[in-house]
Amino acid sequence: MRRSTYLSFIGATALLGGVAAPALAADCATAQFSQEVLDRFPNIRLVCSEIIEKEGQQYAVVKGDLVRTGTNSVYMKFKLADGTKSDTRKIEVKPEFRAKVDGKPVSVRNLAVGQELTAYVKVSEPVIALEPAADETLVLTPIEPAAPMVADTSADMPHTASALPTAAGLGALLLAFAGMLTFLRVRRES
Amino acid sequence: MDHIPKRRPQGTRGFARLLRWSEATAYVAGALLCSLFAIAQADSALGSAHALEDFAAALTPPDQTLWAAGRVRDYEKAKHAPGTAVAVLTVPSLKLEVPVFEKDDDLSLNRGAGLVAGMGTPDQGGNVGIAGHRDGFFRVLKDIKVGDLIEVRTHIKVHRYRVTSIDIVDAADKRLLADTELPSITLVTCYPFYYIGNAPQRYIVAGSYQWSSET
Repeated sequence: MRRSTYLSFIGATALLGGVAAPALAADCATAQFSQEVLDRFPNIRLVCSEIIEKEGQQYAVVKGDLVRTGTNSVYMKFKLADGTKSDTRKIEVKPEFRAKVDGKPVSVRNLAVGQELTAYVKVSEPVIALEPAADETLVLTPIEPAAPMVADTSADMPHTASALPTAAGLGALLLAFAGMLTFLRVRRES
Repeated sequence: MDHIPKRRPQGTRGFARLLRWSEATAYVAGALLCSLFAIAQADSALGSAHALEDFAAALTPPDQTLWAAGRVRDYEKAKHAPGTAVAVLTVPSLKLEVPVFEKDDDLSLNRGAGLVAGMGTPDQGGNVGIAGHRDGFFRVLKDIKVGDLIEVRTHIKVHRYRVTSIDIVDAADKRLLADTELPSITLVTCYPFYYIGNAPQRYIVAGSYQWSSET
């Protein structure tokens, strides 16, 4: 009787421990995102792949595709759990920043559209940072809801016809004309 | 009886001289113009082939482990020197493979296609404008269809686009060259394809970016 009570106690403790354990380690569903984060990044739980701790702070890891690069900024669309993509977000970076692409450091100048990048969103504050190549302090910038600035059209229609075929046609006509003159002259002189 | 040459009147002789002069001038000018065309054609074929070869060579860089820093810098600089291709445009359905140069000037368009100034670039995003001669490499675009694949290989990545629309617009209509939030491509050439002189319209092929998850 006493033995079975003891075993029941162990079983209950193990069960409680098992239930309690995930509640202690934050995941994307249970992370306590601040209201500001949720306001500026409403689908953060859907794009979040895991919660990590860095420099004593919790960050949501979000992966996305590079949509555009600016001088000191990148624009990304994050992947949602259902395969769709989030709105475009802008992330500011320092000129000397190196992003991690396939494990290698790459400057912003050498990033290309379509590459997958990782960013960190601070759980307690509406700021975001691109994952650096080296283990360095994150450069956090406010989460901007704006889509990338679409530049005014300054491009002019290019000239896409060469004058060379016309020149060749004219050349052929001149040669034919000269040939005709030669023919007439020879006939006249003979 | 002595043969007395027939003397032609003064006016007839002057006319004959003028004809002779015209004949010689027409030969010289015709030969020059045809030679110019032949040289341009040779430059187009050789320049395009060399640009494609150089680009392919730059994609597989040599072992630089024993190189001095200066030599590595020079090598990187040479990859982006003026006149070298910045990308290669491929349309598999048309069997089109053409080097893309940084500018859309006459020399570049004779050897391949050129990025339209003021528009996006394949790596940086936006609406990438690529122009080509309708009587050169881009004549085959007359057979392109909506849904066809367009590939642009840069030194960093292969970008894939799917043709979404084909439009014929007035040469002054720049609306289709406008920037876009998501990466896209716009191929531009003159229209009609068979026309003598400056064509009054433009043939515009637009494509949307294919993300790696979509291909």
